[in-house]
Amino acid sequence: MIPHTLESKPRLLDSFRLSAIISGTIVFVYCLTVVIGWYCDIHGLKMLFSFAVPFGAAVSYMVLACLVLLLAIFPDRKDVRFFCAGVSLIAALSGGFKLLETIQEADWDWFNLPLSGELANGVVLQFPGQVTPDGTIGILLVSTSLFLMTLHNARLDPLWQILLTITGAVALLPVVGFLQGIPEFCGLWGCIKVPVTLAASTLVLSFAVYSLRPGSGWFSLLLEPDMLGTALRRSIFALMVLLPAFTGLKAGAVATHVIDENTASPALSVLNLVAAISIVISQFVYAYRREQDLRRDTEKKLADLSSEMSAGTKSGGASTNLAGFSPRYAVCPTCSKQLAASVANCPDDDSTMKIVDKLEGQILDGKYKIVEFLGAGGMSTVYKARHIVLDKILALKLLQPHLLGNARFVQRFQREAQAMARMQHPNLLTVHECGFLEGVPFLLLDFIDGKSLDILIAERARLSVGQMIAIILQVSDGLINAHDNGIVHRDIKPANIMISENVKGRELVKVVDFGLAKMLESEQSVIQQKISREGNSAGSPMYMSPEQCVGDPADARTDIYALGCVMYECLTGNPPLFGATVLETFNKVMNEKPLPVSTLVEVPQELDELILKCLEKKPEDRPSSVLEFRTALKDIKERMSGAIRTANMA
Amino acid sequence: MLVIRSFLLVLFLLLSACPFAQADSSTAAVSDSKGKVLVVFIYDPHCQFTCDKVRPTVREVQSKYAQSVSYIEIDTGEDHAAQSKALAQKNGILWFYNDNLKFVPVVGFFSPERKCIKYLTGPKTKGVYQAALERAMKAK
Repeated sequence: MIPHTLESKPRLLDSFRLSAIISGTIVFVYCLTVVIGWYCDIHGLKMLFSFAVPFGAAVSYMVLACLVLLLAIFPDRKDVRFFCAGVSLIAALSGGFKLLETIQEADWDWFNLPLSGELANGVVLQFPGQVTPDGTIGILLVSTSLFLMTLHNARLDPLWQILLTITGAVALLPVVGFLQGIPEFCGLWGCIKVPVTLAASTLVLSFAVYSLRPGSGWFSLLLEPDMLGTALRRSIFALMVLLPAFTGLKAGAVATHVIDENTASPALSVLNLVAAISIVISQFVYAYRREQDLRRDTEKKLADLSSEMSAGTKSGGASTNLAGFSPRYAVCPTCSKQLAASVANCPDDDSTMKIVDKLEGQILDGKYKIVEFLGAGGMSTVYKARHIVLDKILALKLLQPHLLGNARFVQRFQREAQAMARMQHPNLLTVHECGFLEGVPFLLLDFIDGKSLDILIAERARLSVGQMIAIILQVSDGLINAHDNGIVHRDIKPANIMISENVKGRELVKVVDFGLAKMLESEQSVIQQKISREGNSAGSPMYMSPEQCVGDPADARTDIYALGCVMYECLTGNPPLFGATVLETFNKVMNEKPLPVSTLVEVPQELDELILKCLEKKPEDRPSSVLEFRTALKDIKERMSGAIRTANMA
Repeated sequence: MLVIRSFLLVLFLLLSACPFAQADSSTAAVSDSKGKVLVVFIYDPHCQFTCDKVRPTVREVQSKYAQSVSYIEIDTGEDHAAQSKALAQKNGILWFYNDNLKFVPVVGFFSPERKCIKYLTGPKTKGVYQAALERAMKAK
């Protein structure tokens, strides 16, 4: 699965939602007009555009269009979804019964619901009433697709998408036929005239249903920022624009007697087909060439970066040689044997090794004096450093020397700098400078004189509800700012939450380590995909959301899941789901529900529910944004404060 | 807001496209079939499979009650449009012809007062047509 650039994806998703609203409105208004025509017995409305639509089909399509509009306008409302599922199920059942009645050549009058009294001509308008087979099939397929879609079940996605594709393809045939001047379809059993407005309504409604959840199943291919997605989108758009244009040209040529329709029609149809195929192929070729250009450009950038790094290494002082080897090593106090820093005991005499850091006390680039080693991760080492010119204590983050040859990690390191440079918030680290020190990429960050949340939890075993809320509210503030800047952290965990005191002596929480943050700029997409393809499951397993575990795209709700894990751990002392191995943890994250916090410690019920909501497996079941989550948490805090005040007064 | 604007725009476009033809008020001249139940079979010459399936069944059913039932077949083919319209008007069922000419095959059952008792779209079994006809006869 290729991850998306999140900036382009929401735009696309919004475009699809807008398309669903527009398509739904068109079908709704059209069918409403026809229904009014049937009620008021106005022939002009019943036969709008000279194409009749049976009353039952018009009512069904109007209801289905209404459901599409509801789902598009309230995408996150569960009650709306359940309502739409119920109504679409009824529509699907009525379509199914009607089809069965048609096949049986029966007349199940008991099944028709009267929707009017007896009109002047003796007719009683009924639902579904007398519907033509094409209308019946359209109702059945569209409503079944809509029903399955509203269930939001990944296993059912292929089913409704296949149904919808079949519906769209079948409905497209009469529409294209009409545009090509072929009003009826003939075969061995004779000819049938399919009302083109009904077929067009089916087509538009299918597109609207699809637009409601374009990111699911194989339809998500259309949203991919890669070659395939781009080519598909461009092909569809080009066909939608150019085919009607060809038809218009043909009509113009016939009208002006440039061509004779009767003799030239088959040739023109073949020409249209060739044109359509050419459009699709040309779009794929164009997208392929564009991807090749981007790839070459990226490779050139990486090569330039590599040269720059080599030059930096060559010009750097020989005193420290940061890029050459790890500055940290272990020394045996007994035999003075020097080994890698990771070795805890001397293999000869089993003495506890002493870590020596060659950088401590060194001055880098003439202005950063390394004070002490603070910590190291898989990607970087962090030192406390003094900026000699500014006389300020800062944190110096250096890429691990063994990763220097790997352009992906260098890019990722730069990405962190760029991500952090975009954000200015008290609850996020500020980046003061970035660049290369003796060929090694570095970041100069705020130094936090405090401790990380994981240490705090380890010290206190668990935090009180009040302490936890106070910390998480600040984390949320930082994340809201990050998300507003289009950045998803993707690695929220207690170790990446630092707690210190501000100048007023109040607790100040900062979110750190944006090393896995997802940048959202389109120009970054290729580099980012390259990095993420191999790092799809990047993150810390116990705090990784199910979508991260399977390499699906991350969004704001991924951070919300991790926030749920952190809250859980703050209150209980342990993450919600963890196993003995990474695989076991992944398996639990994917398949098991965590125990409610209230079964382990006493917490308010709303808080218990909020944490479980954050830990939902499906992103759509979690709070939709950190802002929504923060508001809910703040409400809980205020209710708790109110309850305490009331108790004190009592 | 967007929805309302879209709604109004589409409604305006639709109403612009509407010819607003007047509805047939069923006051057209009543034919010789006055006083009899009327069975109307609307078909299209191109609709071979379903229309050809319906025709013999309806003919057979109505022939049983030939004394009290008047039966007409209306061709919706473009070549016979004027004649068909005239025939429908003569029998006081122009509205029925207009409403259903796109949904062939359709069989309509009318009371002697030309009230539509039942209409059936697509092929049905003989029993269904017979039941509809008997209902129309009882309606008189």
